[in-house]
Amino acid sequence: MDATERRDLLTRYSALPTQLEALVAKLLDGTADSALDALNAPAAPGEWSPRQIVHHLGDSELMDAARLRLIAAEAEPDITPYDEELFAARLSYERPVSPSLAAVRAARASGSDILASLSEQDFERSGRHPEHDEYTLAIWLEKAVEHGEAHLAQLRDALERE
Amino acid sequence: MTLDTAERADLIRRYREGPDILAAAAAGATGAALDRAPADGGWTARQVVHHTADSEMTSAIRLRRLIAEDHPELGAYDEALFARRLHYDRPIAASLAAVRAARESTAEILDRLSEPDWRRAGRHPEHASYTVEDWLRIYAVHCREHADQIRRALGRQLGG
Repeated sequence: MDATERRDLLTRYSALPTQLEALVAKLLDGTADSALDALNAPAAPGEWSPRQIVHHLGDSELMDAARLRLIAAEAEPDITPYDEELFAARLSYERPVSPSLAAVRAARASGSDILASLSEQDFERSGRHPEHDEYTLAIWLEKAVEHGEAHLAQLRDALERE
Repeated sequence: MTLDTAERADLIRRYREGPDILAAAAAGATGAALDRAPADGGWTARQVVHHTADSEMTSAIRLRRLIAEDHPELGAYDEALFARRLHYDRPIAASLAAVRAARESTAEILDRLSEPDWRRAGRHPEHASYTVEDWLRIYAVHCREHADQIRRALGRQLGG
């Protein structure tokens, strides 16, 4: 990853909270975050609803924030995966979305502050992740950005279906 | 020892108050004050704010793992290493917001837990047993302890 690619990823990393909040606002379209709104309709049976996607992002961004810190601070830390389906099933993903939106914003804002202060060599630091042969900070960043954007695309699809 | 409903509600209330108490302790402090090394050789107020944010995000994940996973491994981290390596000289606004967001989203989950959920347990390297109730006892006072530490570092009166 060269400096230009990294700068591009950092820009996209910082941009997600505003993009996410704008999409959720459009889905709500002025109505309150109640039990009966556009946030609750899954794309297809068995798929996540926009509400579940927002909570998944809240949780995954907290997790990613912790991973960033472990990899940047510790020597080859163990990274423990988590089961996102179990999280969705057991962590009351029917709750209101605004605290999870705030979690995404805060995780990425503080993460951006840390990333901006890291040296080029820091991006080669790595952790041990059971599902990836290599898990450097550069790879972490790329995955975080792609993960967030993939879920934004799902929310855009939900808006178009309305 | 398990908590009764009133004790639990009181601890959740204190958990929810944490971000305000922490923000109040640091409110209005100048950059120089935030960076003043306390006489006891401990962390500056700025470092305490960043530590609290990093710790609260980890804590939020621990609660989620305790509820969602069966007997999860709750990893520890080296807080001294975090303080040295994670640029604890940066501005504090993002960390104060992280504490608030971690707690507000987690409190929403706490409000919806069932009676058996409170007895779920995980494995923690520094604690023999670590149930959801143990987690709540620890974090109900965590922000307040660090708010007092911030006030001491800033040479302020301790909060009520």
